[in-house]
Amino acid sequence: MALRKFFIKRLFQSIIVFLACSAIIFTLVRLSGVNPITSILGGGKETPEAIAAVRIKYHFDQPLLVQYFFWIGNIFKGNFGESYKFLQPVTTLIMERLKVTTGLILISLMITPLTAIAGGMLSAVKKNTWLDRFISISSLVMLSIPSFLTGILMIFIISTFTPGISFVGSFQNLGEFFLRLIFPAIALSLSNIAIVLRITRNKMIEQLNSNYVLNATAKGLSFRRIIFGHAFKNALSPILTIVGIQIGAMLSGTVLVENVFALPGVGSLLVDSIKASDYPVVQGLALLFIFVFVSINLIIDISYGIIDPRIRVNKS
Amino acid sequence: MRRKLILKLKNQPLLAPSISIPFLILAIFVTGAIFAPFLATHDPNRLDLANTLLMPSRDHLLGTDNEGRDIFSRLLFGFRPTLLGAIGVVGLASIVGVFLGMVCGYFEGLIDTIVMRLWDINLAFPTLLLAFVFVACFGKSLMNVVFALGIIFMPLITRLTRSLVLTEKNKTYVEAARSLGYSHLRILFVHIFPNCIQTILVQVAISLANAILDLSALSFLGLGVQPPTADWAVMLQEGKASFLSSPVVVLAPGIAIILVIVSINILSDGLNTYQASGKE
Repeated sequence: MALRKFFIKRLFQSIIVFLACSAIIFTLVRLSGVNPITSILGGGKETPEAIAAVRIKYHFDQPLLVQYFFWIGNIFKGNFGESYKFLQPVTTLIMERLKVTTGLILISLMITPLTAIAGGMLSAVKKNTWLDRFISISSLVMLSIPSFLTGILMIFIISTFTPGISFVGSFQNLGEFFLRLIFPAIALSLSNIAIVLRITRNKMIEQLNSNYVLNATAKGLSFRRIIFGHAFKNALSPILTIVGIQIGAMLSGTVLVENVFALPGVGSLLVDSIKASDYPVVQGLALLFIFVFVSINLIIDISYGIIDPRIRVNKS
Repeated sequence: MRRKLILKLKNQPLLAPSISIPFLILAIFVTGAIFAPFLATHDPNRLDLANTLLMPSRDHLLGTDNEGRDIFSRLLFGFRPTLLGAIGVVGLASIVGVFLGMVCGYFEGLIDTIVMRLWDINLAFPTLLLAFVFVACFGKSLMNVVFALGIIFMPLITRLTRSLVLTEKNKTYVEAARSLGYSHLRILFVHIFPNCIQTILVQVAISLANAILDLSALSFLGLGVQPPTADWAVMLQEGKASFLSSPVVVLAPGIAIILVIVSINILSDGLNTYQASGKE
């Protein structure tokens, strides 16, 4: 019962946050001062009749609040409007490019938690040895290299030593798709791995110094059992929170990585649209990013509620 | 006598290598940026299409880029926009963030709820997305990017300050100040603030590193600092294509960015440990 109440409450909060974000984006675009009618028509074609037609077609003749509700209502119907630049529905444009970005994020999501948690736990268990220092220093360096620089360096190193791998051209089958995406995905993951790794290490050390671990050791439990059965379980929820936040960083990170590796994903679409002041596409993509981010955080919060009953009580 | 001095210096935690070395590296880069007009060997923006992609030599210390501009001179000037921008971002975020955090933590109540809910909405934007939307609406420029990043960085500093004030305000010295009849503002800014400043400064240092990273990312995408202005990220974007034939074009600004960020990160880590050891 408590779980259901908690779930409904969190769902409700997420919807409000999403609507608030969409309102902010809508207001920002309208505050921009750029005349959208000119952008739609393009230079030279601004006859009074054409302007009037566009005003009615895109509801620019209505008050701002009404325009917002038109916009948000259409979005719930899956209609994000039409791109000024490509003259295609935004949904089609995004769908075409979603494959690459989804692939990138999924591969990153497979690499990041696994390596980061394994590395962080190893570092915590071997605290103050050379291995721990090595992991700590390399994670600090990984944290400090921007993903676009990692990408450039990777292309350089790979094309110097293995000229066979190409970073251009299209991909026909799943194998080629994976090969093209694996290096960008690594470039995207490195700094996230470092952040999650450092948190894992700190939380694990905190748990390993606690009394219940001392008690478990005194009871004669095996080391493995203490680490995986007790300490890790308790360190897991803060680690999950960070992974959730990092997915947000990943969403904007794809924009950079796609730029470096010349991949046709939604990130490169976003940059092109920003440069061309193609507002419907920018708005649509921004909403998509926020929707994904809010949903993931909702899922993580709810999974806490299932893992750790204390949270249900505290938050509701 | 000399041994004693060395021992004394060794035990001085602020001179530990984890603090002094990154500090030195940062000092070199910042000095280079400040005195760029005096240190540069060439005009950073002068094109010389006859001498493109030269290897490092005595005339061009780090060679030239694909438009014949001197890389060493561009490297010196190239830290200026990012450094100024990052200081702007962190300055804006800290002034607003610390003020809001202190007020929210001290008074709680309605204002606290409003500010915290607003920041929850701010945090629901994936990193950089707000900056992207901002640039899309108000144009590509360093100023717009700095303003957007300033807003993005505010919630973190607000939350940190708020949590510090929440614990500080229940301590005995605050009660003592209150019983002496001091005003809320005086207690908040003269008594509580100095006790929080250390922890806030570490967060400010970390934010500075992140601000440089984010500014570089946006400039790299062509949304922040605009070419032909010398900037490390702009240099990376322009040099990307000629990397294979002339690696210096990318390696020089690339290594510079890495050194600066690694130094700030080690420095903030070191300060954190120093602060923790001071509390024990």
